Amino acid sequence: MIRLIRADFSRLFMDKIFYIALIFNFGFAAFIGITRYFDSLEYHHYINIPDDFLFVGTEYIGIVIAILSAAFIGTDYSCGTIRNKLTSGHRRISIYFSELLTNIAAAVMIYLAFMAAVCLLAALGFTADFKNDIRDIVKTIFILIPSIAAFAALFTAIDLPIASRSASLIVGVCLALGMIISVSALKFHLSAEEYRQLPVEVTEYGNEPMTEPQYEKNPAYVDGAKRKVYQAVYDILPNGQLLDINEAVIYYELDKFDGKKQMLFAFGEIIVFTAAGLFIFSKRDIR
Amino acid sequence: MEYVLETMSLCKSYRHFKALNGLDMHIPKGAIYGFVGKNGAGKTTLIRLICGLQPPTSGEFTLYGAKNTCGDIYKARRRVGAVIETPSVYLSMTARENLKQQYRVLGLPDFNGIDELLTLVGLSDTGRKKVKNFSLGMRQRLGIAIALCGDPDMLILDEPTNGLDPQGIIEIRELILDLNQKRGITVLISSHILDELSRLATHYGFIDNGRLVKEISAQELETLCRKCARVTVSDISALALILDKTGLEYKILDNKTADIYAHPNITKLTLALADVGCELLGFEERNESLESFFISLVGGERQ
Repeated sequence: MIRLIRADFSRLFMDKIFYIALIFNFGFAAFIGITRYFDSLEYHHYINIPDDFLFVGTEYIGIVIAILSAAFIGTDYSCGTIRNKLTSGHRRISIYFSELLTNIAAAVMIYLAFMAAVCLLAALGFTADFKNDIRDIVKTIFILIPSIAAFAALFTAIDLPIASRSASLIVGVCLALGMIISVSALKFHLSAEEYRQLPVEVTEYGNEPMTEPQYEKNPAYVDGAKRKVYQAVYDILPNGQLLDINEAVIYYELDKFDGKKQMLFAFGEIIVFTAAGLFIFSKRDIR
Repeated sequence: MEYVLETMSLCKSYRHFKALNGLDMHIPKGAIYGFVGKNGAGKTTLIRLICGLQPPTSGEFTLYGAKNTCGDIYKARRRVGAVIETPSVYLSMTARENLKQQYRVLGLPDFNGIDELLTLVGLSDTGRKKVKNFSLGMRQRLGIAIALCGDPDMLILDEPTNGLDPQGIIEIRELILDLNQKRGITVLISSHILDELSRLATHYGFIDNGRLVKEISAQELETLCRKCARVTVSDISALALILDKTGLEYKILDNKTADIYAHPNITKLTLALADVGCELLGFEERNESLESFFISLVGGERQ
């Protein structure tokens, strides 16, 4: 398998799409950091670039990984070079793990490019240093890696059995977008208050009446079994995990953040996605 | 005889379609084995099975003595290089980068030998040109070069001359002959360009509907396809007597027909036969080619 990993990594470092993704992520982080910094000067509100933006990129990282994985694995199919690997006496399991490890490494490097841009902005004097404890930040980065790896494992499990670059791309991007939308919707329901205040009627002079505020049950709020299901799905989806990390950093709540649970879910997903993908890939007829 | 590849009742089904239906095949070491069959006969399916791209539905094969069901098959496959249908090359890389990539896949310790391979397939002057800008013939030759990485003992070529111009076909043919004769590489070559195959093959396997209908050496085929004159006479013993006297080689087919493996003088033969009271009822020059042999084996349907 070492031979395959070596071959796949050298191909990754020759891959234009990988460099485009690196530059895009670096540039995008720099762009949002700088624009938000100048906005903060104009509107006199406080932003803290390293803490506020370090993990923002996790919100769309799934789409980037989907594209990169489809391009990288799909090339082996579109060029037929996966046949060379099999004919050379490599087992399918070795091919699978080699592609998976390369995908994970690429995904992590791409996210590191985003973080590098944020840190560079901070070093260049755009607002203050980290407000969170730097040791917590480093620890969070290590917690983040399995969640990013879970994305890579998911798209590897899709792309290797699909065996078509264009089909992988469509399925991967649609799935990544679907996950973003699902997580947003779940977050909306899970963070909704149980009761919401009714609108207050003001007097003809514009004053609020001297009565107690009235509340009603919030229809967006979910409870019971439904809430448990929503929470479980949210926890399972890699975006959900990444969103939690991001919020914990932004709201300086890393001390309350359950990193172990996060990592447990992420590693569980990697195992499940890889087992499923490997099972289908090992049964697949390759043309 | 030592066989590099043997298949035993090999079957492969795709849903209800049987692409291979109990195929038995034997490829001797050092042979150029011409694998002949119509489109859809099962040639590429067999190659895919041997190369591990697909598992057989039933039956088995041995490659360099390793059964397909044993772990040793992976080791045996390392002795094989293959070009299946289209050349498997990275289009965004140069010829040299492609070879380096295959060297890495094979785990070869250094890149020595790449220059030699590029020269061998006539791609040494392609420089930084990307494979996407190569002609089909160049890609085909690069595919063969990739298959040759790591000095394989066996080369599997699936329709290697497909889409090539006449010059390209000649180059590939000479390359295959060179590899077989100088390096002793066993070659399995599937094709339906029979004329081209007849210039290369030392052995033939004819496949039809997923079954190997005939396996034959080129020598045996030559004997079967020898030029001859088929004569029909009223008295076969009279003909045999005359032919024995003239010293011509012949073969009696039935009590009226014989094949004469020479070009007899018809006038002299007719007169000699008339002298002994035998009539010449028919005379036909026969020159059976590989193509007609194949058609006689699998039936006259068009490919």
